[in-house]
Amino acid sequence: MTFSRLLLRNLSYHWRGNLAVLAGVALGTAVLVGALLVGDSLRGSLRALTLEQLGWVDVALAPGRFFRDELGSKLPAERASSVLLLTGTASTLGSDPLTAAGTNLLGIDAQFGIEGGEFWNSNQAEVAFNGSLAHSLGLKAGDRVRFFVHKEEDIPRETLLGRRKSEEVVQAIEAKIRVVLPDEGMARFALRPGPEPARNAFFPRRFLQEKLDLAGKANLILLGKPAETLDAKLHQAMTLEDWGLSLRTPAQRAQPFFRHLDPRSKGDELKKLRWQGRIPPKLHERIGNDNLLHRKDVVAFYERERNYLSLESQKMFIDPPVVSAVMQAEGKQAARTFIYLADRIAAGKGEAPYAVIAASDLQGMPGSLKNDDIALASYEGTPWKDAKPGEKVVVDYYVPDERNHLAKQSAKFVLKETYPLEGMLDDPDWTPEFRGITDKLSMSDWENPPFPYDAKRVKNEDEKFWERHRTTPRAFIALPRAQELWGSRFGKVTAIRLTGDAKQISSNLLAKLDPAEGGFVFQKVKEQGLRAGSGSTDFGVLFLSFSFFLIVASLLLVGLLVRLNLDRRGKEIGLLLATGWTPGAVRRLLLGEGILLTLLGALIGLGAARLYASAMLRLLALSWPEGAGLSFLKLHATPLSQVIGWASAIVVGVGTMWWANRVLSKLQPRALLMGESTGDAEGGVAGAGAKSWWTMIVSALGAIACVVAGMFAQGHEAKAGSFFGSGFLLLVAFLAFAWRRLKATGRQSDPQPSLTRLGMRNAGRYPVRSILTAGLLASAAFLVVAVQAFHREAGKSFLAKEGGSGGFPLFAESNVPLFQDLNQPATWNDLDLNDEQQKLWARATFWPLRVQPGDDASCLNLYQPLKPRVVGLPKSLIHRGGFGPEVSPLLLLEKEDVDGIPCLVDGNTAQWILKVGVGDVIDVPDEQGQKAKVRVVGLLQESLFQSEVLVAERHFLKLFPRREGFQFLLIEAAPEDVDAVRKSVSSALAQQGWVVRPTLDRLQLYLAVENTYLGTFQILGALGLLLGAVGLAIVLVRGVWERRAELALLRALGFSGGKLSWLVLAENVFLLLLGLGAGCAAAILAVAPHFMGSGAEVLWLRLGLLLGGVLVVGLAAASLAVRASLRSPLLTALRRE
Amino acid sequence: MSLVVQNLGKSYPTRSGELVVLRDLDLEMNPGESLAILGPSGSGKSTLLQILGALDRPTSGTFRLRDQEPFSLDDDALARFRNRRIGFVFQDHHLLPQCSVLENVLIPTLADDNVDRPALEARARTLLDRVGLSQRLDHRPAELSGGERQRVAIARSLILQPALLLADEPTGNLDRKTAHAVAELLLELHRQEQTIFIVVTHSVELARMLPKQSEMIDGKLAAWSGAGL
Repeated sequence: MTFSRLLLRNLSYHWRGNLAVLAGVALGTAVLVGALLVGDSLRGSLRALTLEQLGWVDVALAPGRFFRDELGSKLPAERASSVLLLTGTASTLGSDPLTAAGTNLLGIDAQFGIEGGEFWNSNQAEVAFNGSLAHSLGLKAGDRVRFFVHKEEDIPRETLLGRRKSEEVVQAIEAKIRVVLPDEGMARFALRPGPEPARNAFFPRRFLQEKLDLAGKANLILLGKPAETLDAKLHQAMTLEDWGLSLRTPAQRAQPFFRHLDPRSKGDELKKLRWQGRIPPKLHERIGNDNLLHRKDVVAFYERERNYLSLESQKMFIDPPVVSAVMQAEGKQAARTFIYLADRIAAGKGEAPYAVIAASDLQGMPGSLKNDDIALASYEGTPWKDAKPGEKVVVDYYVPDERNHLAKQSAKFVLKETYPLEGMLDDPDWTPEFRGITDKLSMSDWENPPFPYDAKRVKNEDEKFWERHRTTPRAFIALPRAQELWGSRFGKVTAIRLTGDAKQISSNLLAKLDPAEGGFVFQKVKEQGLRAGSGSTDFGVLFLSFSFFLIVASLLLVGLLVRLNLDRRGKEIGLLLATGWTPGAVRRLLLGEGILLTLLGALIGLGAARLYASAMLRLLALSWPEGAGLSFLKLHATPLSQVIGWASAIVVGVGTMWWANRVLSKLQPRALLMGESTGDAEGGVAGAGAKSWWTMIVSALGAIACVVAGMFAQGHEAKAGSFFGSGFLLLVAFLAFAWRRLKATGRQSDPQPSLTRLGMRNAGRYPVRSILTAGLLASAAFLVVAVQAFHREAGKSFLAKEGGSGGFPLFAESNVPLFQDLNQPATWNDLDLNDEQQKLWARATFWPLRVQPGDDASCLNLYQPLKPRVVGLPKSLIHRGGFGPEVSPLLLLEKEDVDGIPCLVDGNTAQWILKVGVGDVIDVPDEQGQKAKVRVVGLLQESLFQSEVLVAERHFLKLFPRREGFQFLLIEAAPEDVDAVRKSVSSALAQQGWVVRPTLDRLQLYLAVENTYLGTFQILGALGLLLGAVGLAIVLVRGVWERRAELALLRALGFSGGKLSWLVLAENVFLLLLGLGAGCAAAILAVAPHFMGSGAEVLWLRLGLLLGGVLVVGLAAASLAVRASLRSPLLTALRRE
Repeated sequence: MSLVVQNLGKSYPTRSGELVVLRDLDLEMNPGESLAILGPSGSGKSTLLQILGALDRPTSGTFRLRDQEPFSLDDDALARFRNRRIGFVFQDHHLLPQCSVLENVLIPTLADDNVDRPALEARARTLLDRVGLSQRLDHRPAELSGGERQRVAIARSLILQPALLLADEPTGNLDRKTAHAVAELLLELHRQEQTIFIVVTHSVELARMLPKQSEMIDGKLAAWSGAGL
């Protein structure tokens, strides 16, 4: 016989008790390791999803502009593919079409990696759908489909010449579905990976380019395994075309001039009919006797008389960084020009409509124009012949306001001089080309001008001017003044005149241009995706935090089981002590058994943890709102988490064993041999009263400190720490108090005892056992109540103006921006609304907001938002008020004394996802990819804006100057109109992909996510209650067994079965109430700061029902255990005694 | 003298005042001597036995065994003292149900690492042979009769050759015939081992089998009148 053999023998002999302990340890380990595995799984699943959705792509270049599609092939990478990527709406054909907003249209080539070979290099009108898109529209191969996408336009739409009508903004593309690809590999491609499967439509790039009038263009380059020299190579490979620039030589400008004279001619000479009265005198001089205008003569004229290079932008306005680079590269050789179309120039008694005004810092311009000086052209038919220098000149013009209304404004100038329209001033190329206007032979041919145009105002003289001079400026003003009046975020220069060798200039310029300033910044999408895949919230820690009380409960159960085992083995221990075993040796024996059980239990728990984590993931996925959003969640178990969890479980388990066995030092072998148990020994320990008193006081004070700290804490970790810390300490304080009461109860002597009091006093006979049971129940009750307290529903005030909706019952989103004001009857007509609809729309108010697409910053996005979506609020909305009681928090967006750009975020988003507080900075990448300092100045509460960062529109436009249009609508409507407005707007804007939804739905979606988490945590609480019930039942059955003789005696003395049941039940009801009471009280106190801080509503009724239910279940379980226990033959026990 | 007990007193505090169980008790015994202590329930017999077995401490007085005063020892030394000097036989045999007969006898040896285990195993076998259980070495307590269990307990009490063998109602749970056999065995082994043997009993028959008897009266040992209890 050896010590170890005895130990093993004990383990096998007391297998029932040990099995229970083993199960307890396994359960605790499963919960602990499982919580870590949930975190692992979320990270691992997001990681896998990222890798799957990005496929071979490591790096992407998406500058937000179009460039040559051949640029991709010039970059050093193992694999490269240029893509034309658009987002739009896919629609079935027919009278009642199904639509799928947010569909990605990818114009790809064979390099992209989708089977099809040469098809991808063709221009066939066919499209490959991925499974998700086909499923959402119910389409199959061979079906026809229509897409609505944002029509690409050179001229910024939010400028005077921008085209904004819906038919000018949306373009339809029709194609036949060639194949439906399964949702795997590159068919699932998403540049910004997310749990929702992307809806992709793949076209041959050439087809899409042709349809969208973007021949040879792409807006996305995907690279796999790029070389380190990527940035340098890009800089070298870029041309002015990639920048959207053209350096037009005289010869190049001569061609359109020639073409303009007879657009239908393809020859190199024009008859007199075509050129007469339409060319400058110096060109006229070159015409020979044949009266033919030869193309070569036009070129020669340009090279002699208009011998300059003109740097122009396809978008009419040259980007400010480009202007800076040119001025740096060319210095005094460069002259900036800015033109604007005036609605009217009035001077003296005459006026000219639709006249071009120019400003330039070119040397040799008329006068030396400063401030409000103006120089007017003098030509045949000049309307301002009588105007004298020093006289007032009025210029009327239109500029778009924040909602793109063209507001007529006037500027007054002083006439500096009039100048003859000749030489360099007689040049239509001052004005960049604008299709439909500058290429027309007469003003009456202008095609659907985007500005207010009245043909009746165009007089014969004006037509003659157009015929001869076309877009030649009729006035010049000072460049700074022009830029001040008409400059916009898109630029303040429309052309730069240069002289010299075009190639050299081009080369110098490209060397100076930093690709990053044009948005050409490589995004390490895979690296970023993997980083974002670490999740916005550490689910491992979150689950561990909420599992803490369940782990404590399982440890308490383990402690309880160990103590009951010790009680049962009292005589055995007594014998060992009596035969000379030291208490230390006995403790080593028992602890050895415990350690072995812990090791084995933890090992079993490690396996169970995988099942537990899988179940939790499944539960999360099933209860996640909006369908199968989390179906991608798979179990991922890292060795590190398992080792950490297993080791922690062992340490905690062994600690529990040590604690449970520490009573051995207080045992008297004599007492044990006489049949007393360890419980009797614990009950009789003197001096524990003082210890429990101190424990109670210190824990209560610590809990109060945590609660107070929680009220002032800002950070999410600090708040969570305060919550769990105060909860734990409060539980300890309550249980210490309960311990004192139990001990006092156990020592009571009652001259008039009642069955109930006797029963309650029984709980004090074995105070450790009782306190462990109460602790078990208290831990579970704490979790259930605390989680339930956090459970939220949309508050009644949400729809009020002061509530989280701002008083907007509806909102709408789209990928295709809106440029029109939906509050205007002109727009309603444009949208073909009938009278009834127009009346309805007139009663509603539409507030368009600007959106910079980015990562959803709300709890709906499991990825960490590295580039949060930004929404710009117009000034009118900011001053409208709402979103908070009394003073609107929106006004904070206009704070001036902020270091950085002021922003608002929702309180939940700030706390849980972005992990920021008021005063903190959020890094928001601007258009050039530079991190802009955006500072949180306030938090919205329970708002509909949980997915975005809100800034004032003026700041938005500084951050994203090239971002155009509105992609978010807030809709104000009377309650009785809400449904009709929703239906009407959805129908009218369906082609643009607008989806209109109630704001309450959005909030409820956020709440549903939160409540999904809480529901999962509540399951943990329910498991805890189950453990509590098990503990209670064990204590009950054990107590009855130990007191079987006593109970038998009572029965012999005439006590009925019912009375005996009540005697036993009273003890357990007492423990049940004690545990639930302590848990509830601790939970309510711990969550108090949360409610005081947020103004959230506690669902008292729900909470009451839940607790009532727990009590009833507990009582039922106790009653069943009593009935089962009292069925044993008690009189036999009495006889045995 | 090997066992010297002088002025031994033991009292317990109760709600109604101090309860004196042993009062200035004196006792002296040498190896090979034996004593049966009789007395009514609650007279303090078992208390005396527990103090002599170093399981309980006296309120006053001294107790020396082989010139060693156990209650001056610290807890570990006291446990060692109990292990090496004292053997116990209880009314309830207190065998470990999970252990075999042989293992039960060897249980006290596990308390000390510095023992000659093979020798002790041999001694255990010998003792079990002497108590007539050499054929039941691997049996579990549940497979033994009451008398057999008590014989295992006797063997266990002697495994480390204690100076003092204490028996508390060793035949109390046995029938008359078995009780007699167990008593004879105890006495025989006591003689063979030359221990000091004290037995506390209500059994006059057992008491008479010992050469010397005392009666516990008012917390003191007095000469036994020979009357039944």
